[in-house]
Amino acid sequence: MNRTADHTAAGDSPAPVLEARGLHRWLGEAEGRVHVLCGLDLKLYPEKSYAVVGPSGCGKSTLLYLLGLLDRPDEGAIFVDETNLSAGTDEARTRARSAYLGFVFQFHFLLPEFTAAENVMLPMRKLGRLGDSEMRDRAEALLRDVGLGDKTHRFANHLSGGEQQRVAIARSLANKPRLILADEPTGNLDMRNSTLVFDLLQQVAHDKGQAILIVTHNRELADQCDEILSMRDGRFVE
Amino acid sequence: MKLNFQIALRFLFAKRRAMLMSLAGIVFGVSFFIVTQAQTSGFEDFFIRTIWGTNGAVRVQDQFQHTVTTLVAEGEGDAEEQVGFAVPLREGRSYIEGIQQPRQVMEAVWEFEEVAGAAEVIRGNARITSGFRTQTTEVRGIHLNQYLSVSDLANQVRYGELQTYAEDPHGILIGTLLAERLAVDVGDSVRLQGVDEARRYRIGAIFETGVEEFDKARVFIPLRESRILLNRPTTSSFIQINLIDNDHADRVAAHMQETLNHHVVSWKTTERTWLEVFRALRFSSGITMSVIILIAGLGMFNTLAMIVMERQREIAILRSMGYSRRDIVNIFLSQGAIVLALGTLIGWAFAVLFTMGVESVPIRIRGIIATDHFMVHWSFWHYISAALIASAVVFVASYIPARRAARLEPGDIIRGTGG
Ligand SMILES: Nc1ncnc2c1ncn2[C@@H]1O[C@H](COP(=O)(O)OP(=O)(O)OP(=O)(O)O)[C@@H](O)[C@H]1O
Ligand SMILES: [Mg+2]
Repeated sequence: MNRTADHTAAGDSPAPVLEARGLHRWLGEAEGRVHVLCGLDLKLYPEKSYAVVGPSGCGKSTLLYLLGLLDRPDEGAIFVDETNLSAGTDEARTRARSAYLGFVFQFHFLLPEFTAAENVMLPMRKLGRLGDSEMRDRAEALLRDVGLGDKTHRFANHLSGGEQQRVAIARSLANKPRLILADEPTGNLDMRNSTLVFDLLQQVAHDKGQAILIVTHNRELADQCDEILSMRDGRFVE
Repeated sequence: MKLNFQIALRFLFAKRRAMLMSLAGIVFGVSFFIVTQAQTSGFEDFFIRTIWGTNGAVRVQDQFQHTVTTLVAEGEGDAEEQVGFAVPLREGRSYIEGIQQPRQVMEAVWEFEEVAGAAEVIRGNARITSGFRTQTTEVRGIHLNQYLSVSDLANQVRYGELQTYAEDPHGILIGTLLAERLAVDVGDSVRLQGVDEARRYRIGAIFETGVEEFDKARVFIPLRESRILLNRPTTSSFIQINLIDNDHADRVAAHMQETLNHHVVSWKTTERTWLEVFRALRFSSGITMSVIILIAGLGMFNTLAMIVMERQREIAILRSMGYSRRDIVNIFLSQGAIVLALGTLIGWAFAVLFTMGVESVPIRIRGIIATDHFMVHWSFWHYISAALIASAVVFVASYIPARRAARLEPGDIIRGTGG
C-alpha cells in the first residue's frame, strides 16, 4: 500500500499535530547542488508512532530538520496548528520548538558543562511553566525512565555515548511536546537499552497522546511502530 | 535572563585561560587610566590651589572710563530753541592706572554675594638692601587680615611667625629665595629704597609660595607703610578677591567689570596657558590608557569569536530546545558583561591601591608649584569614566560575536558537524 501519511488516517480522525506539503530541499552550492528532498507530503497524528527508514543518504535527517523547524524547505510548507511555520518568523518557529517539539539529534548533543539533570532541565527552564523543584523532580523522573536514575548529577562529558544519547531522549520529552522527532535514538545503544528507550517512546505516544517520529535502521523496532515511512532518494516509497 | 547568565558563566569558565588575559587587560587599563588621571589632575589641582593661595581668584585693577566721541549738530535759530543732539561715533575705553577710590570699590565688591574675601593691595618696585647685597623687589602693601582672607599666606610661612610681623609696625615678610640671596634671617633688618624714600624694616617671617618668581622677588609690608614708601597716598594698585566658589571666577569677573567700571580679571584668564598645558596632559594620558583598554577589548573580541566558533553545536542545541536568537545574543553579551564587571571592580581596587602608592612617591618639584611628593586628586569621576570607556569597548567586542552566533541557522550548523 501507499505509505505516504495521507492514507493512514480515516476521515474522522483528530487534527494532525503537524502537516507537511510538497517539501523540497536542495543542498550544496552550484555544481554540487543536490536535490535531497523531492516533494514530500506528510501528516502526523497524535497518539501515533512513526518510523522513517531508508538507506544512508536518502535524506532522513534532512527531513527531520525541516519538521523540527531547524531548517527551512526550499519549496513546500509545514503546518503546526494550521499555521504555516516554514514561512513563519524566527520568533514563531522558536516558540513552536519550545512548546510543541522535542528533538533528538542523530549524534546526541548535550551541553558538556551541565549535568545530566541540568541538561534535561534546560528546555523546561526556557519554557518556564514549572517551578524549580517541579523541574528538578521531572528531570530526575525522566532520567530514571531512561535508566539513568543514578547519574543525574554527572556532568554530560563524563557520560558514555549511550548514556548521553539517553539523556538527550529524556531532554526531548521534558516539555511534554506534541511531537517528538528522534534521529536514530537507539544508534549507540545495546539491545537492552534500545528496547528500554523504544518502549518509553511508544508509551509516550500511546499513553500520553503525543506523536513520535523516529528514524531507525533497526527493522525490528520499525515494525513495532504504528506506521513505517520508507524513503529512497528523497521520496517516500512502498 | 538568569538562565542565559548561567549558561554564559559555564561557557566562560570552560574558556577561563583565554578570558583571564582579557580580564587582566581590562584591569590594567582601568586602573592605570584612573591612576594617571588622579595624578595629572592632582598636579593641576595643586597648581590651581597655589594660584588661588597667592594671587586670589579675581583681581579688580585699573579703572576705566567709557569714552564716547560725539558729533554735535547744532540747530539753527534762537538760543532758547536751539536743540543739540549728540551722535555717538566711536565707543572706547581709557584706562586710569590703579584704583582711585579703594574704599568705595571695596564696598562695591562686597555687594557681590559670591565674594568670600577681598583685600586692597599696593604694588610697586623697590630696592632691598641687607649688608652689602642689594636686589630689586616687588613690594606689596597689605592689610594682613584682609590679605589672609584672599590668600594662603598663613600656610606659606616657613620661618618665623605671622604674629611677630603683625605686631611690628615696621615689619616685613619676605620670600625664601630672596632671603637666601640676601643672606638674611627672621629678625634681621633690611632697607627698602622706594620712589624717593628709604625705610628700614625687620623681617617678621619668611614665606614660600612654591612659585619661584614670587619667592625670589616678593615682600609684604603694611599698607600704610607702602603708601609712604611708594608715594601713593590715596590710591591702590588692585583688589584681590576670593570667591565662595572660585570656579565661577569668569562669570563674576565679567559681572564686576560691568558694574565697577574697573578692569577685572579672573585667574582662569591669567593662568590660561598653564591650565591648557595641564588639560592637554590629562587628555593625552587618558587617550593612552583608553588605547590599552581598547587592546584588551580586541583580545576579548578574539576570545569570544573563538567561543562562538567552538560552541556552534551547543548554539544549535539551544536553538532546537526553543532558545531564541535574542537568548543567544544575551548569552554572549553576558560573557562580556561578566568579564567587564570583574575587570572594572578589580581595576577600581587596584586603582585605589596604586593611587595611594603614587601619592607617597617622593619627588621634589619647584617652579610653578612646590611639592615633595606626587600629587593625586581623588575623584569619583575618574572611576566612572574608566568604567564607561571599558563598557563601551567590551560592548562592541562582545556584541559582534554575539550577533554572529545568533545569526547561525541551526540546520546549517548540524549539517556542518555531520548530524
Ligand atoms: N551541505 C550539503 N551539501 C550537499 N549535499 C549534502 C549536504 N549535506 C547533506 N548532503 C547530502 O544530502 C543527502 C541526505 O543527507 P541526510 O543526512 O539527510 O541523509 P540520511 O538519510 O540522514 O543518512 P544517514 O542514514 O547516513 O544519517 C546525502 O546524500 C548527503 O550527501
Ligand atoms: Mg541521518
